[in-house]
Amino acid sequence: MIQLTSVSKSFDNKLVLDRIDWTVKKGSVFGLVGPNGAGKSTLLRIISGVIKADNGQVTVDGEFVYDEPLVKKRILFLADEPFFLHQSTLREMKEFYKIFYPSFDETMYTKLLNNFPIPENEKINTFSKGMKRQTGLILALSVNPDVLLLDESFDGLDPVMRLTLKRFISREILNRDMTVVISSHNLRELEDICDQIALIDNKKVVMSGEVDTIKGDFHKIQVGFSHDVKEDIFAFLNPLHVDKMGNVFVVVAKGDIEGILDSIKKLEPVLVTELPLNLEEIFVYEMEGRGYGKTI
Amino acid sequence: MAKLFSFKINGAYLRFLLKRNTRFMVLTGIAMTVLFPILAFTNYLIDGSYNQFVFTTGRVFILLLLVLSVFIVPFLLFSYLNSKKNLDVYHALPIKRRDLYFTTLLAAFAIILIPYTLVYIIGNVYYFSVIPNVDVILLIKQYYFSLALTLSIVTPILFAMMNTGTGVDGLLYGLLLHIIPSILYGAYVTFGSAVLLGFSVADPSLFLLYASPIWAIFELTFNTTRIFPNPILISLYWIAFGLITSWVVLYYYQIRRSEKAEEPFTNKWFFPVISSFFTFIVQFFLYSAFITLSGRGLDFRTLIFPFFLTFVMYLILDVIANRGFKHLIRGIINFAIIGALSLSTFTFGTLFDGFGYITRVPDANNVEKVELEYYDPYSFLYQSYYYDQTTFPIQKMYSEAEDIATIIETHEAILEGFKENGYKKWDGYSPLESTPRSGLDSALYQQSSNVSIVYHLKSGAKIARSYTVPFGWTTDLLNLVDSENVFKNRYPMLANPDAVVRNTVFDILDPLMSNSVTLSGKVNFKLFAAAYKSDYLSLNEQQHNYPDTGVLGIIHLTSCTSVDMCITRGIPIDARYTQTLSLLASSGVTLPTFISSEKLPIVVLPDATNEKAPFFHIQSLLGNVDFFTPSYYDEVKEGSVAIGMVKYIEIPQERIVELLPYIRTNAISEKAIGVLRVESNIVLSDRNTQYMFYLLDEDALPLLQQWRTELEVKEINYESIIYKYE
Repeated sequence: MIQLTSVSKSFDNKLVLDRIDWTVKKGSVFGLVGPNGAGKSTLLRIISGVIKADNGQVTVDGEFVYDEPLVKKRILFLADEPFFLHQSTLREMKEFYKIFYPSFDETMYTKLLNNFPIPENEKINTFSKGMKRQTGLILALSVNPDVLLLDESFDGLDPVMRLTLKRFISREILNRDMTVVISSHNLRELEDICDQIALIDNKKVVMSGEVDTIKGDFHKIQVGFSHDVKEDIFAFLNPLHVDKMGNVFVVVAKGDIEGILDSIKKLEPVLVTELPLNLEEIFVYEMEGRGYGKTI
Repeated sequence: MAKLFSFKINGAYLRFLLKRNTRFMVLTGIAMTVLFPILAFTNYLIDGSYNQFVFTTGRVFILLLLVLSVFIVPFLLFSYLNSKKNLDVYHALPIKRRDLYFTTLLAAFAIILIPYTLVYIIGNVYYFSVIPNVDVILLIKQYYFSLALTLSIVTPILFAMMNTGTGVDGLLYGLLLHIIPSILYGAYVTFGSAVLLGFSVADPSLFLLYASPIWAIFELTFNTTRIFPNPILISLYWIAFGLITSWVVLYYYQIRRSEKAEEPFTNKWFFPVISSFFTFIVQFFLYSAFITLSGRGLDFRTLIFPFFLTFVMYLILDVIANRGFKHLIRGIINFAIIGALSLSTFTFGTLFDGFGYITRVPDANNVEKVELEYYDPYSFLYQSYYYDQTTFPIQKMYSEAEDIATIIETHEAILEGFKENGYKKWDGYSPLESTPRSGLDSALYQQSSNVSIVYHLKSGAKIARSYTVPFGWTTDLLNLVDSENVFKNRYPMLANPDAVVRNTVFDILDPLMSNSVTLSGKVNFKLFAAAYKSDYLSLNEQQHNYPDTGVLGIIHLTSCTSVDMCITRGIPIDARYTQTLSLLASSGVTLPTFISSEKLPIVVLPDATNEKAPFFHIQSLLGNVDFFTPSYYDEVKEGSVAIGMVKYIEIPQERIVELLPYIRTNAISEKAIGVLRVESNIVLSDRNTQYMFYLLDEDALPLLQQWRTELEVKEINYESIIYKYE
């Protein structure tokens, strides 16, 4: 279990994370979302022990991480841009990781290599961006860590590879009880793979929980009237978003769906339909509700 | 504290780094092998023999390559520090940062030293097999020094890397950190030489030995004659420096933030401190250099150019540091502060006589011993040829209280002379107005002499001064003639008889060197040396400089310390050398007497009308230039050329014996009496003229007066008396 207690971090007197309390249960796949500069990467770097929190505590299974090799052996952090030694090959990188991670699984490595067509003895600097990402993921998964931290690691992969990897990760998590934290802007991907999600905004974790619970808490309802009405008719719902097209409205609101529908029906609409809402839309509407991107 | 020294080397990672850098090691190994010993082997193929110099050159070059690889390897191994993403990955690895740092440092050390060590061993095994009498201990010591100092060369580069964000900045400032000590020393020496009268450095390489590890590695490895400071202690100092700086670097390594990793400077104080200090000392250096070149003393017009030159240099550094002209105004303000500081320090240092440097003379009570080098134009105390010094190193150290007092008096007299001339340096030619010592012919007085003094204080400190002064200011030093040190330099083979392997010539000659008797096989050389030394040291400076008895004989001695390292001396004996004379007598030696010579001896007579007080000296028997004061000659104009004409008389062979009681050598006269010149039958081994000159004592005046009337007084060109034209 990853436990963050009142974690703060500043860079050059600029506060990036502010007293964050956050828990990631063992074996869960956590998606970390948030606007640019929200502190997602900083959070992952703190969890992996790359940097030290200014205040608060970070533990993995009850043990501190920073500069503690025994704990860090169980954690693998794959940065948004994967690192490779100068002029190295995949085989050399495998040797490099094997030095530090005794859990490195040769069988897994071979299996991954069979799934992903990466030449083992060619210089990595000759690879395309997508191949480099695959290489990084092959190495990260072969390390077989208890905690895998992926910082926008799927960006740059083609859809087929993305799907293959997602399946692979899902399978391995089931088999090995691995805890995975994935930061990404692509919520559709996270939705497919993550069972939990957290939203970071304004230096804090503002939303965290099961994907299904979150999705169940946000509702998109289409409402039609026979006569002309104003948008503010829905103000009593504290909607995250209201769209108007003629006499038809699309309202996004948080809360109990039964209660929301009952309240809307009292307005005597001619049409009330609940529309499907995906995670990306929830993220967008939630952020809009917080004032992010509204001016554009 | 215990935590500070607790780290673990990750053996697997160490091996991984070594494996990854095998090609680099092979390449440097090949490059080194080409220089040592392949260079020597190819030289053998050409010359057919092995040359020790080529081996030594090879060793110098492989050490140069070692230093070069010290600059390259840290950038190969620690390059991840200059990339945010790379640094994040390394810091995410399950290894403590200090363990990662020390493992990488050890790997760097190994990558640098493995090829050097292999080539050093292979090269020296080859050297050992082809060159006889190899000093193996010396070779091991030399290897130890290169080993001991490598870390101290690496750490400043790492320190620069930890404070900069790019490889180029790291390299630039690593180089800068290494050259700063040399520029600092250069600035100090140039400033001292330019504006400080008497400026001298006791041990020119001492500062750099402690300030520059690159200098120290070459000095310790190749200067095999250095005794003080003890080379082993210096190497330990550098090991300690390397270890301490390793931990300083570790501190910066541990706090290195990836957010700043790619910025030019990760430490906001690094650039201002280093570049300001660098600019300050470069300014100081250039001010001093331009003042020296202009020869105008402190003239602010001279400082304008170096000021602006350093301004441009500072701005370039500033622009590189800030990657543009964004902070140009701030850079100009910074430079103005540095410029004002250096200009004011330089000006005050110049105007206030180096803050007391010029006038400082130590109290005799605080002086333990004094090192003196004195090169006067007449070789009054001793002359030492360059090839003599390789056989018997010149002895400079005076530790007797009386000798120390004499040197301090001379130093004070020199400063008194300069004080009257506004503490301006003397060019060695233009006559000086003041006359701290009277009683000399001006021509003698103004002759340029060099005096270098190094006081070794009881506190362990040293004060060094060096002057070019008129000879007349240094005559107090003639009182040192009775010191053992002067004896050692005049007659080194008698002072160190144990060092003499053999004497190729050991004869006694009559006073005029017409006749000889060998002493080899008759007189024990060591007993002779002891007796002569005892006689010499029993005489005081008055008795040495103003002998009151005639020369009885001259020992012709050529002594060798090895096959081709020999020196020759003519050693005069008179009646005061009682122990020497007793030894010769007890060994059955009869002093040879004068036999006729083909050439008539002549006496050069002083000009009777010249009333100048001549200070005249007959040089020791190996003097290569003899000198007559103007009291001896009249200047005659031939066109625009002034020729000195001297009067002389030729003495019949049978009458020369009358003069023998009055002839002196190694003597000073304060009156112009006369000089005897003979063309000797016997030539001292390495003297290039047969002319010998003897000073005549005042008691010879009646005889000379008589000869003036009885014999013809002739006149001849002054130079014809001195030099023999065949």
